[in-house]
Amino acid sequence: MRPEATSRRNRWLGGPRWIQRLLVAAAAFLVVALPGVPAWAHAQLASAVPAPDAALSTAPAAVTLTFNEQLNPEFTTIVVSDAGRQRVPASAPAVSGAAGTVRIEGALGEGAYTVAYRVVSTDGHTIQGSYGFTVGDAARPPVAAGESSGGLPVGVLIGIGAVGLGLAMVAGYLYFSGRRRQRGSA
Amino acid sequence: MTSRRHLLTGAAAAGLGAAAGAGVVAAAHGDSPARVAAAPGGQPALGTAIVAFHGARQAGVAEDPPAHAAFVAFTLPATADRRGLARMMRLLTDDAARLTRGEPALGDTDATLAPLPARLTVTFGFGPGLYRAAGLRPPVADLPAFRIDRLEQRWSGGDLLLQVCADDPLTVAHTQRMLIKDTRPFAAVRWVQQGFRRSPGIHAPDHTQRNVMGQLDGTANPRGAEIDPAVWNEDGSTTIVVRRMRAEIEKWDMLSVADKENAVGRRLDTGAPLSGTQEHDEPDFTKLDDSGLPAMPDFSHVTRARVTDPALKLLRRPYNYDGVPNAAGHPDAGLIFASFQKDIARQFVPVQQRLADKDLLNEWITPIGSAVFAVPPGCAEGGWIGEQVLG
Amino acid sequence: MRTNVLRAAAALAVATFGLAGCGGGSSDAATPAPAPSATAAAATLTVKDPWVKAGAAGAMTAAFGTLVNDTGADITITTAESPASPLELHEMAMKDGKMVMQPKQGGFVIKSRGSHELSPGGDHLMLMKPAQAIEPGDEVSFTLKLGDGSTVPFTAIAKPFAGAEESYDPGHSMAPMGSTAP
Ligand code: HEM
Ligand SMILES: [Cu+2]
Repeated sequence: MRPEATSRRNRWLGGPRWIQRLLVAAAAFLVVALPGVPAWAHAQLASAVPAPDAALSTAPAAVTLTFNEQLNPEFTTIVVSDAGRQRVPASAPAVSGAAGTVRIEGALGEGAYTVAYRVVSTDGHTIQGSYGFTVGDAARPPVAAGESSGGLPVGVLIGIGAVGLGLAMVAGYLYFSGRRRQRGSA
Repeated sequence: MTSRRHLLTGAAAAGLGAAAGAGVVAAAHGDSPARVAAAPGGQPALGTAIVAFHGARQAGVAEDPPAHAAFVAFTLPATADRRGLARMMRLLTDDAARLTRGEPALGDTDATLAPLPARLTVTFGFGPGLYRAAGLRPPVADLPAFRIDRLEQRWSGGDLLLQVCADDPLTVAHTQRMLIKDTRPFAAVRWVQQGFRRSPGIHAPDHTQRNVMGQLDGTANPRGAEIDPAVWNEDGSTTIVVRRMRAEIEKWDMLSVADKENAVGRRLDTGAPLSGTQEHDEPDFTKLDDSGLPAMPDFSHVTRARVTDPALKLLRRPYNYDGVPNAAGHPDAGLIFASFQKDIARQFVPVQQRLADKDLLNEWITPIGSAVFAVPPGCAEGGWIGEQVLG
Repeated sequence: MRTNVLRAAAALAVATFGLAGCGGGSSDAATPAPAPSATAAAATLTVKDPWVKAGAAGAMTAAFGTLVNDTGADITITTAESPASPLELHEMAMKDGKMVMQPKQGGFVIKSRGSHELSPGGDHLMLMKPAQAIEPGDEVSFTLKLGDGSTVPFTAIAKPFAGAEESYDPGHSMAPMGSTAP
């Protein structure tokens, strides 16, 4: 695009050309990537008890995860692990509607714990993710919150705008690194 | 006896094929008998390759599956009896023995189609009804009903099964035609299922093939010496289960690669278990990812189907089917799932039961046909398949 | 000329099968008679791939196969017998512009080191009036009588066969065989 042909809208967007390019690339990336990224369209964690990052003074007897759609009991996995990545003994998940609960066998000692889940939405997509909580005075949970569908990490609790920005940055990186590679090979 | 049959290829087979061609007299119409020209020299080895028909065990089980197959099931009339069944099996054995070595069957009206057997095998299975007709106790029983079943009568049951396999579809068609003609006086065709795998030469023979859903299918199958303890009874008999599994491809299309991998428990590209990196890595069901989730999802097909006891494994020998799409463009595709095992009740049923109870892959596969057959021992030259049962 | 070449080819085929150890189908070995070497007692003639068209009791039908003469002299088959039915040696011939079957005068002659096809639409052994139905898969025994007085037994398996629009009516009309005429 030649500079004199720059449209009004672009001028309104302003900024140097690399920002324009970045925005175009981000938009293209979103268009291409969205249908293949099910995290927005399908089941996701709506609420959890204990809540992500909760610092509890008393050990919870159970973990209940509530999703935004019905769960299939056959395809619901919820596990709790301690800071040493050892599985905490717990019941199989009891599913009721959109909620799955595991009862923890025995009392949790002080420390950091990770809740991880793998569930399947009604249309068959696998949703998995994890978050941490602590009991007592332990340090903050070591495992960062995250949700993924097929290994693509997506912030659960951040808004669409933030996700968009993240994607834009990724897209920008890909765009420029692609150009650099092209130039290099020319 | 080794599990792989001796393959006659090259000169010996070419000689047989050419001789069969030259010696044939087709059924003539009036004027001059139409003789079949000898196959021109230098037939590609694929066409002339022969799998020995005779032996203590039937062919068409332990060999690498050829590219094309027809499964033909028949229904016996109420009048069927043991003597008649023995006559039928003598006739069909004779046809199969000739056709598999590249010779026309007796009275073959399309003798020109016989000389290129292309690893043709004909495997006979006896359904429970055949034993009852012969006044015998069936060694196989129909499967119990599974909650995932959506069985259609037109793909289910059968008193007699012919499994016809070859690396060439015309060879399969001719063999199917000839055998059906000779079975007609004894039984009615109940269903026919035609399927395919990759063509010969596409892969190295030991390369695991992909199925119509794009998965590497066959990785965990017993191979070589592992086949024996799982498949063959002392007397050379075995059993086959044939299940027509419709693939819900339109729905399968909507999944991401990771979703598909979670359903199976293996990577789509390499076939490696989600707990490993190479196709033939043993799945590790105790391995946890960073968040504590099992690397092999506990609802995945492989996790649920897993069999470790070598005597309880299934030898899966599935063929793809891909029929005519409907007006909306939706495919009619899936697997003709065939598995061989010593004992259906001990080996097949527990696996199918586990899969019916829980298997994420069930969201995209539906059993629409089901049949079980005993596969009687093979026969020596001059004998006939079923002689131990019906003789 | 062409015929000779084809005969040679057919003989070669037989020889090849013999070497490969698979000359003759399962029906042969069920009754040991017709394996290529099994009739060597008669020293003369073998019947390869014999079969008979299945049919109802009383309905004419026919037997087929390849007669192979491995000797240095011509062989004549003068008559044939079977416990299943009275037999005649038949040939197809043009009569008034139509193919009809008729008894073969002088019998079938198999040239030295040659072979002779009995096939639907060609020469055949006619079962004039089977006493009982010949069911598919039945094994029917036959005996060929040769010019020198010796005999060659063989067994043929019965096949359902609807090829070449044949019909062997008991009417003995010698109706056209293998003819597509209306
Ligand atoms: C359309 C239907 C099916 C598809 C697409 C399918 C696909 C697969 C795939 C991709 C694998 C992993 C690779 C391999 O080891 O072959 C597999 C494994 C297996 N499947 Fe299936 N399958 C189907 C139906 C069945 C059925 C009906 C059964 C038996 C009831 C079955 C039993 C097994 C077993 C025993 C394994 C090996 C598990 C192991 O020990 O690792 N499958 N299947
Ligand atoms: Cu006649």
